[in-house]
Amino acid sequence: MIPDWIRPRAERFRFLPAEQAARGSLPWIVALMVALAVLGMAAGISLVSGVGVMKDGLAQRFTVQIVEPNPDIRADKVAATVAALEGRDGISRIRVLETAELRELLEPWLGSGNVGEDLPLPAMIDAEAESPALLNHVAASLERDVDGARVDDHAGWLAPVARLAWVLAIVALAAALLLTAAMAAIIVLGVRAGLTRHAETVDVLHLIGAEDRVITQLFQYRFGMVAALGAVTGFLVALLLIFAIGRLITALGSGLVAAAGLPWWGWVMVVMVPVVAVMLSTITARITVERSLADVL
Amino acid sequence: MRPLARFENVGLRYGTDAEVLRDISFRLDAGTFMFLVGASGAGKTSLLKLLYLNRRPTRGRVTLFGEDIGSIERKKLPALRRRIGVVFQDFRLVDHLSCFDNVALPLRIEGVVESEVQAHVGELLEWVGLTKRAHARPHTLSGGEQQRLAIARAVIARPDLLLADEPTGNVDPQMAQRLLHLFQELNRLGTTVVVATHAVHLLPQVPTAMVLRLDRGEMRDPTGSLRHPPGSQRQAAIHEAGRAAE
Ligand SMILES: Nc1ncnc2c1ncn2[C@@H]1O[C@H](COP(=O)(O)OP(=O)(O)OP(=O)(O)O)[C@@H](O)[C@H]1O
Ligand SMILES: [Mg+2]
Repeated sequence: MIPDWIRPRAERFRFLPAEQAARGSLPWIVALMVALAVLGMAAGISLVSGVGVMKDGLAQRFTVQIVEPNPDIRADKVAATVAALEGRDGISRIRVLETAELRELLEPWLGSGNVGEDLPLPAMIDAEAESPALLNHVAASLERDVDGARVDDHAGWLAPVARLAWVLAIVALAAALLLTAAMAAIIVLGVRAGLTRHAETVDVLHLIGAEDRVITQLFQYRFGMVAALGAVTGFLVALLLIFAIGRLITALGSGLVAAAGLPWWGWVMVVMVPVVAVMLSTITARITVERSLADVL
Repeated sequence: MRPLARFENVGLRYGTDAEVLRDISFRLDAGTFMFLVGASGAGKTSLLKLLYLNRRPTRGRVTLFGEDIGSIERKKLPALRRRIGVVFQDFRLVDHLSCFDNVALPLRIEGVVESEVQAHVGELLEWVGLTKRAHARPHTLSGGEQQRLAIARAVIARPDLLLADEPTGNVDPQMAQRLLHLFQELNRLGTTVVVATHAVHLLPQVPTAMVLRLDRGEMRDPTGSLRHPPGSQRQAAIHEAGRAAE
């Protein structure tokens, strides 16, 4: 079933008896760890990249808010502001929000019907600057020239969200690393137990003239196989969960989470998880055997 | 002649116990047939362990195939061990393998091609009378059959040095004779043979053999016990050993 060029001689000729580990709990433990690591990484990466995507889209957008109770003066100020904005190069998509739109925005907070005609509302003007530097410059001059004007850049609102996303991503990455370390520790224990169980046979193999390599390759192969079985299982389970969660998020249809999703480099990293798990198991098994055998003559 | 092995004031202790071998000095020339005799607990197996590279001497110097065993690097050991065939006192057969695979083990470890392995192992199993049990597991064999299997595994790769620890302990006198003849045959073909045994009545069968007698970890009669010209000290030593056994 497994071709001979993968199976070392020592395995083909069963220098050590077939190991229980392959049928025991080890593959499941590896599967669980790979699944958790994949989910954690996918969540972390999509959060960070989602916030990044939103930030890019919002970076140059800003809103000028004019607080002025007198509707006539307010109208003048709005006109002045629009004129000032239009007079500048690099400012585009200037739009004064209608009173009806503002009412709509407020309704969720105040309750429908509660936003009366007489409720004084600030005026809002949306616009887009060519660069963050221009945005800052325009904001400063507007706030100085127009009394009661306040400029909000949309990216600023996202700063705390971005910070949170990064913290969560780092936590997810740290968890993945810890899971990896735990998996390596379990492999070490498994290999040591295997060596102890077969100590007599290993001894005879040595005395007959087997190099350490023979035993190393055997353990490397067996634990690599166990890890591969577990890693593939864990990865497939995690993939299913990621797609299921993705569909739920899409169903929400919210703008904030619409940006969430794994970018291509995220997929690469996620696919690396099982690959790294198998490589790490193999290397761990190898080093463990080498170290244990170095103590015997 | 270049010595295959040389012991110079060798001492061996296990852990912090008292020395089980003291002041052992002798040389083993290539092509020699040597008997290692002595009472139970005298240190025969311990001396063999030094020869099959299972222990480093705790004192003195052991030289084997020109290498100082006290300081040899680990990575050089496999190559040396492949030149040595061992019949362990407790056989050390590998129980998850069939008799055939046990005998094939040294060849497969060396990487001999499978067609050759099949031919050689089949032939040798035939010789030790285990062809019918080729696919049986070692623990299902009788004591004597296990012993023959252990011998087959020790000689399959045509070692330069054959070490046999009590190789006739479990077989009837005829089989003991046959096995001893096998060792002699190998010896004639150039293999250096060391046989540790209580069975001093076997000694006269190999008149050219050298006899090393151990008594509680020390060489008995160190000068006389080494090389015995036929009919002189050797006979005396055998006589003495025989008396000691009684
Ligand atoms: N691994 C060990 N640890 C501690 N002491 C040991 C060990 N192996 C042997 N000994 C001790 O070393 C001494 C010599 O043992 P050894 O096995 O070499 O004797 P022997 O001549 O082969 O005996 P026998 O004829 O019964 O096989 C004994 O006193 C034994 O108890
Ligand atoms: Mg013994």
